[in-house]
This record gives sequence, C-alpha cells and structure tokens, in this order.
Amino acid sequence: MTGLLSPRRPIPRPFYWASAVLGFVVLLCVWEWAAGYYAAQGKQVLFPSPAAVGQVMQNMVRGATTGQEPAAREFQNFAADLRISFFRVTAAFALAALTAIPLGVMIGSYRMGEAFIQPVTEFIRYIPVPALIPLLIVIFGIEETSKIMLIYLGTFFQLMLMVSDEIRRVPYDLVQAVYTMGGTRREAVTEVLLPASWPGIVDALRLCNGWAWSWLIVAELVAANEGMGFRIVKYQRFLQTDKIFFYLVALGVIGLLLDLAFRLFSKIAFRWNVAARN
Amino acid sequence: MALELSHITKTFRSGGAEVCALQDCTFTVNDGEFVSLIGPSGCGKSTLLYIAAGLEEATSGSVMLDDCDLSGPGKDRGMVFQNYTLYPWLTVEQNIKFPFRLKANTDYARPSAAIMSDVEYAGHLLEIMGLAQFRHRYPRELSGGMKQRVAIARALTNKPRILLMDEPFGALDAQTREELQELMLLLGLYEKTTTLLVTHDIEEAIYLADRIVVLSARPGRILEEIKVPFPKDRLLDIKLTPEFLALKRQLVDLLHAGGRSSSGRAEILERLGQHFHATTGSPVTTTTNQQQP
Ligand SMILES: Nc1ncnc2c1ncn2[C@@H]1O[C@H](COP(=O)(O)OP(=O)(O)OP(=O)(O)O)[C@@H](O)[C@H]1O
Ligand SMILES: [Mg+2]
Repeated sequence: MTGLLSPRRPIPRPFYWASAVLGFVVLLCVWEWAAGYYAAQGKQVLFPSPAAVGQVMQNMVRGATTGQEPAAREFQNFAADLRISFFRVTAAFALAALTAIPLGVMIGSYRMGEAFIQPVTEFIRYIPVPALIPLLIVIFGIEETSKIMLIYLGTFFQLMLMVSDEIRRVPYDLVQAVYTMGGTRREAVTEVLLPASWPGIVDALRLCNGWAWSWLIVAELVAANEGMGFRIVKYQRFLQTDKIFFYLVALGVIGLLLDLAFRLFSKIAFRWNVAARN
Repeated sequence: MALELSHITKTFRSGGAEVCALQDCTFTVNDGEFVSLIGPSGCGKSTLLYIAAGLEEATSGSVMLDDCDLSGPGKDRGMVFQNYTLYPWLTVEQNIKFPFRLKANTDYARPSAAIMSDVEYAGHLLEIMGLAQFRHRYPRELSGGMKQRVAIARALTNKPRILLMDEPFGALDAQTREELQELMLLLGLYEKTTTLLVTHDIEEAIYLADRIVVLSARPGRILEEIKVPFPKDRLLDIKLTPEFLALKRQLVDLLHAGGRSSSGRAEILERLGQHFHATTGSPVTTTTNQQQP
C-alpha cells in the first residue's frame, strides 16, 4: 500500500514538513482564538495573545542586546533561571542515570537481583513523589539538595525499571550463542546483554529527561528563590500572564531541543539499529 | 571418538505434568565425521543438540568429548542456531572475530603468535565464506543466507572440536539452501570439521552426512543409525541416483513408522469432501495411501 494515508508507510518529505508546520499553525490559531475570546470580555490580562507573548520575546532580545534597564534586568533573570534550572535537572538526571542503569542491568540480568529489588521498587514507585516534598524539605532543607532529590526520586525508579525491561527484551539465544563461544556468565552481561540494550537504554534516558523537567517545575513551584518554576509563580502573583506564557514556550523549546539531541545521538551512535520507524 | 552421548534421558516439567522428551539416547560422532540427526517434529532433536552443546542439562546420561566428561557449554563445541543469532551491533567482520573479545581466547597461557594465527584464521574464514566484500555491513543489511554464513564462520573461529547445527538452513529458500549445503560439504572436505546436524530435510541429511541417526516420535529414542554409502567428495548429482532415492524412501518410511501416520490425509479429505461438496455440489475423488502400490 502506498499513498499519504497508508498505515505506517512513509510519506514524501515535503508532506511531512508541511504537516508539521500545519500542527504549529493550528496551535497558534487555537491560542489566538482563545485570547480573542478573553479579550472580547475585557480580560486579556488572563489570557494573552500570541502577539503579546511575541512582545515579551522582543523585550528579552532587546534586554540582551542593548542593556536598556527594565528589559536587561528581565533578561538577566531569565538567563539566571535557565542556568539554575538546567543545573538542577542535569545534576539529578546524571545521578539517576549513574545509579539506575547499573541497577537496572542487574535486575534485568539476574533473577536474584530482580527478586531483591523489583518488588520493593514497585511498592515505592506508587508513592506519589510530590507527597515526599514536605519530608524532603525537612530532611534536606530548602536549598538545592531537596530539589535535586525530588527530581532524582521522580526519575530513578522509572528509569531503573525501564532499563531492566530493555535487558529482558534481548532474545535469550544471543546469550546462548556467547556461551558456545566460551563466554562466561559475566561476559554474557557485558558483551551481549548490555550492548544489545544500549539503544533502548538511551531511549529510556530521553523519556526520563522529559520527566525530570516536569519534576523540576514541581520542585521549584513549591520552594525556590530562582529557577523557571519559581519565576512562573512570581509572575502569577503580579498577573503577568504574558511572561508566564513566554516561560512556557521556553520550556517547550528546551524539551524539544533535548529530545532532538537524544534522537540525534541515537541515530549516530547506533547506526546498526533497525530504524525504529518504517 | 569426538562426541559421545550415552543414555541421555530428558524430562520436562510443564505445569505439574512430566513430559518425557528423550529416552535413553546413545550415539557417537567420530572424528571428522558428519552426522545428520533427523526425526519427526517435536521428537526432541533440538533438545538433544542443546544437551550436547551444554546449553540444556540432561535428566540423566552423560556427554563426553574426547573421552572427557562435559558439563556446561564451552568453546570446544561451536553452535549454529536456526535464527542466526548474530550480534546486530557488530559488523560481519566483528561478529566473526567476536570470540577474541572473550577472556577464554585472551587469558590463555599460550604464545601470542598462536593467538595471532587464530586471528588470521578468522580473516581467512571471511574469504572462505565469500563474505569479504560484506565485511563492514551490519547483520540487518544481509540476506538470510549471508547471515547464516557469518554464523557458521563465527562458530568456526574458535576451531571447535565439533560443530553443532540446529536446522541451520530451515529458513532459507531452496537455492540458497543448496549453496550452503555445498559449502558445508566442501568445508568438511578441506577443514576436516566434525559436524552434528539437526535437520528435517531428508535430502539434506543424506547429501551431507556420512551417517544418519533417526529419532522416533515422542519420547525421542534412537530408531536407527544408517551409514550413507557415498564418498565424502560427492556432487549434487547423487541426489538423482537410485541409491540416494532408495535411502530417501527408507528414511521416509522410518519417519512415518516412528510417528506421523498417514491418517492425516484421510481426515483432511473427509473435511474437504464435506465442505466443498456443500459449496460446489461436485464430489471429488482422490487416491488414498491404501490404493497406491
Ligand atoms: N522448556 C521446555 N519445557 C517443556 N517442554 C519442552 C521444553 N522444551 C521442549 N519441550 C518439549 O520437548 C519436546 C522436544 O522438543 P524439541 O524442540 O527438542 O523438538 P524438535 O525435534 O527440535 O522439534 P522441531 O522439529 O519442531 O524443531 C517437544 O515436545 C517440546 O514440546
Ligand atoms: Mg527443533
């Protein structure tokens, strides 16, 4: 089957890009319409139009380039927020990856490890992480540690279980093959299970990185003096919804870029992998 | 005697019930010999081969290689699986040289010259198997026949005492299968490999083997061992000789006696008769086995 609407078949590139652009256009139209609806009732302050958010963006650029006062300060805030938020996410995410990958490989490879860790993990995983915030603040204080811990706890368990699933998905006869070549049980893990799972693990990292940003905002909404989430709450207090929207757009762009980076890395590093699509 | 299986019995436990898959199987594969193992579907051929490879444990009985008792898998027995089992993240060349990544091939208390000559041998295998121009390809870029060539080369890299193959050409088209059979035959001639081949293709079993071991239907028992009366250096033409066809007939009869009954045909005919008659209204007459000479 060919044609634009054949299930799972590729379509010509121009059509793909046109559809992608169309998606954004539709989003903008809905936004514009909703803003118009609020504006008609004289409540444009509750729901800014795309143009108003574009204004904020221009302001930021002006602040960055000319250093005119209110704009420059706003831009400096934005840059500082970005820096600290990035630091929190990256620290927590790196910690999660460093601990979850080895443990996930252990669980996926050894039934002993699975029995030891997995049931406990499944239990902990269902404790909603936000419920831990008061406890985290009591234990770690309101400084960086509690925020990083929150993001860490939010991603660690998921990542560990996803990694173990990737290991379990490797066909067992690949392991049998290494044994018939004289491989040891340890080599079955290091030379077969792990290399076979890397693409899946990187994909799990990509998803978890997205979740890490969600947990970041949760952490910063609750208690912070700077950061993207903190700034959003602050603007809410002054009813500056146009600036909130600007921050939301920024978060979306960051997510998109990180996602692309992970995908690009996968594509280059795992050239051997059957393209997940088509 | 290279490989010696004595009194191998295997029972599986599935859902509380015990299933006897193999019963008291004893046979040997001699040095330089090519033995085919055939039997009806589900009779335990793969199980027996996996036991020989050490990947499966026998309930009782022993496996010996060069008069040494074996337990567990080892690089002295190379294995070729039906579904290739190539490592998709390695290129053809890396797959063939994969054994050198393992401690078993580097820890040895042997001079590095010996290891170097082994690596060189792997390079030759690439040429022997006709894979040289595909050396940098990944498995997903290869046809089934090519993949199985890589798998065979990889199993030979270790210079195993015996090559164990589980329906290695079962998934290939007829022409590719014949090509690979030819390759195996000549490999046996040149490299003096010792091979135990599990197959459900009777012609393949005869064409390649010096001896054929026939298993009965479940539980698998050794039904018969038949010497193949052709010289090692044989041509595809022998498949048309009366001796070949007679042997084929003998094996077909053995397999049917040992399991599959021809009642399958009668059953299918009955169903066809009933339902076709209902749709077309015209009865069909066919021969049954009883009517044939
Ligand atoms: N892990 C297992 N648990 C329970 N029963 C098993 C198991 N493995 C194999 N069997 C049974 O043992 C019997 C022999 O299986 P085996 O795969 O060795 O047969 P085979 O001769 O290789 O069949 P085929 O021609 O289909 O490859 C089968 O009846 C199968 O159902
Ligand atoms: Mg089988």
